[in-house]
Amino acid sequence: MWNQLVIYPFTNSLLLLYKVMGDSFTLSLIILTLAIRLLLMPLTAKQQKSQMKMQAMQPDIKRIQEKYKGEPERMQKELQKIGYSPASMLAGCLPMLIQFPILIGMYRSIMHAIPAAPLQMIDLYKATYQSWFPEFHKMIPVERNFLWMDLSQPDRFYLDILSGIGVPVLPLLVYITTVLQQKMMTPATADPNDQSAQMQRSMMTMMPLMFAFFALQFSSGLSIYFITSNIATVVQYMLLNRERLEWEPVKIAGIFELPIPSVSAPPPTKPSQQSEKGGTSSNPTTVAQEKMSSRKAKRLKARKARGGKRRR
Amino acid sequence: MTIFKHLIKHKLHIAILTIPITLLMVGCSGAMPASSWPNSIMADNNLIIANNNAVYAISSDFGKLVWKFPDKPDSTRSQFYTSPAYTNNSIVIGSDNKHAFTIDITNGNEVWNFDATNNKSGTAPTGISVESELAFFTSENTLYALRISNGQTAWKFESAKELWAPPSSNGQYVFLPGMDHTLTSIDISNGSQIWQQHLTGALADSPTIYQETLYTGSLSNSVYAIDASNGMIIWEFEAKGWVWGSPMVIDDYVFFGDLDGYVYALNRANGREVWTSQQLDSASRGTPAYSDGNLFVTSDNGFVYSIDAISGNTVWNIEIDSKNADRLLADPIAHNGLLYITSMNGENIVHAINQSDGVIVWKFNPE
Repeated sequence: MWNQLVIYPFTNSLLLLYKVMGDSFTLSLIILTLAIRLLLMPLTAKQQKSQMKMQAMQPDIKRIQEKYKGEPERMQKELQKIGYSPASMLAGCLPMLIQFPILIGMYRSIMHAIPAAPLQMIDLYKATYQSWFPEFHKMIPVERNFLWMDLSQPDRFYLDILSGIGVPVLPLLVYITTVLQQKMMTPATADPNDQSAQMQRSMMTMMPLMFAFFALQFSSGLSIYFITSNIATVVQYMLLNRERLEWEPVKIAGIFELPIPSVSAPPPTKPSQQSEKGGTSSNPTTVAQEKMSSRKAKRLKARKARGGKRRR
Repeated sequence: MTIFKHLIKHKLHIAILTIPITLLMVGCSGAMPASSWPNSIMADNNLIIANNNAVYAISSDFGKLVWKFPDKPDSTRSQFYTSPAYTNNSIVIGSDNKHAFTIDITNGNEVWNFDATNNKSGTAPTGISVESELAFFTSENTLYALRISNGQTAWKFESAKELWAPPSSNGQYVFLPGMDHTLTSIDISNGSQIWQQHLTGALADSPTIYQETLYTGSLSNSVYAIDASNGMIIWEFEAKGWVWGSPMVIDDYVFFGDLDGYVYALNRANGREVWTSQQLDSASRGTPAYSDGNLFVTSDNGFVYSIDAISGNTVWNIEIDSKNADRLLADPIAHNGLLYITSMNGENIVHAINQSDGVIVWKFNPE
């Protein structure tokens, strides 16, 4: 059932794209990954919006947590009032979990579609929709080499000077793009001791390592899927939030700095509550919002001066 | 104790992290299949079986273990699926981690090994065949001619794409099947190319040599008879599915099965169809075995068929182990009234069956 519903359609789609893309399995893999991302877009967009909402709530959450420090019940009620619940944080993980069966399906399809061994070739013969490929024999063996990579094998880049030591280039890229994606999309939390914040930190440390480990162990094709998927998520996030995009240097694995795009916090959910406290907030998120509001005001002023016309 | 407390404290996010990790481990590890299927040959009245992490020698009469190589688990000698070859009291075998080994048939001890990794990790299907003093070992896209006495390379030949099967030889030339759809004739003395014929599909098994003609199937439904001296195609036959195994030539007939589950008999002289069997339950990959006017073929789903070689009618068929053993992809072996079936799944990797009625005589469980 799993084969018929997931593996075989993925495998045949990969082969069809391979044929269309002039016998490039890498391109076929990239296009199928992007198509899957496109199908999952409603789900991921929802996740991203919920994260944005969470980010916007942070000043309010912090304010309530400070105000009702000794009254946990009241604090919970107030937090509920502004729409915050730790469960919503967990719900944010759901789209990610839904992606795992797809990931597994993708992995097995890659192994099916680029048979590097006899048993896989027999399984490919069974998996192929013969009517889609009238001259299937011409496609065999499917070209699985790209640059230095054999897409059916774990990636190692060999240099003569390193005498037999393979550099895992793609697993490193998987790690970097996963960190990039997580840093960009994870909202800052108000209380670092909060359980959800702790969970977030665990996820941020563990997930890139876990994906890099899988990339190290399994076929390079899977790494191409991870990298494409991560980049697509980042681009999608940047497009959804292009109004508030800023570039900040971030340390990757504590070794080198990379300027990565980050999104400044969206406008607060309840401006009336913000003003309740009065004065300028010392919270960095709020400062960023204020800076942004001032930039927006300047833009509006400039537009008015030009006679209300939008600058092209 | 502190770790325990920490685990309890952080149980929520540990649980959340465990879900995807478990999913991925289960999903992806299940998808790391064996690269090929177990294979066996008959050597000195012993059956030599290459299966996963070991090579076994068992007596063909009763199925008792004679020796196992390596005798203890050894990750450096792993994944034996290549069909072994036998010559001068030695078994030559290739492993998926790109090594060739020669084993003393009397005691199962290693004589020498050959490393074709070129300092690179990874696995590849390998092939082994022997001719007089040379062993032919294929790994990735290279054919190595190794001296059986010491494992030294006599010469090597590089192909455009990977090689999944070893060459056949007539003592003067070797005929190398390639996944790049080519069949190449190479001078056995120095490794130089004599001719190369481009066919319609990839060649995944060795060609059969019979009276200066080569017979080969291909992963394109076509079966060919090719002149061994110049590579010219004598005839071509179109089967219904891919023809993987080497054809079996008996007198005036050529027999083979295809991945759509049909078995064929062709006229050896002109390639015309003599008969096509009824469709079997599933794919027939291996080379059929022949004995006393009967062909024996196996199927992917675990059935063994005895087929009358003259009419193509089924004499008997059995499912060797309805619960476990399937994927009968290795070549069956007919020897002294028994039929030896090597299976991929199940507890018993070899079943010895009566040729006359299909009754199982003994089974071999490597554990």
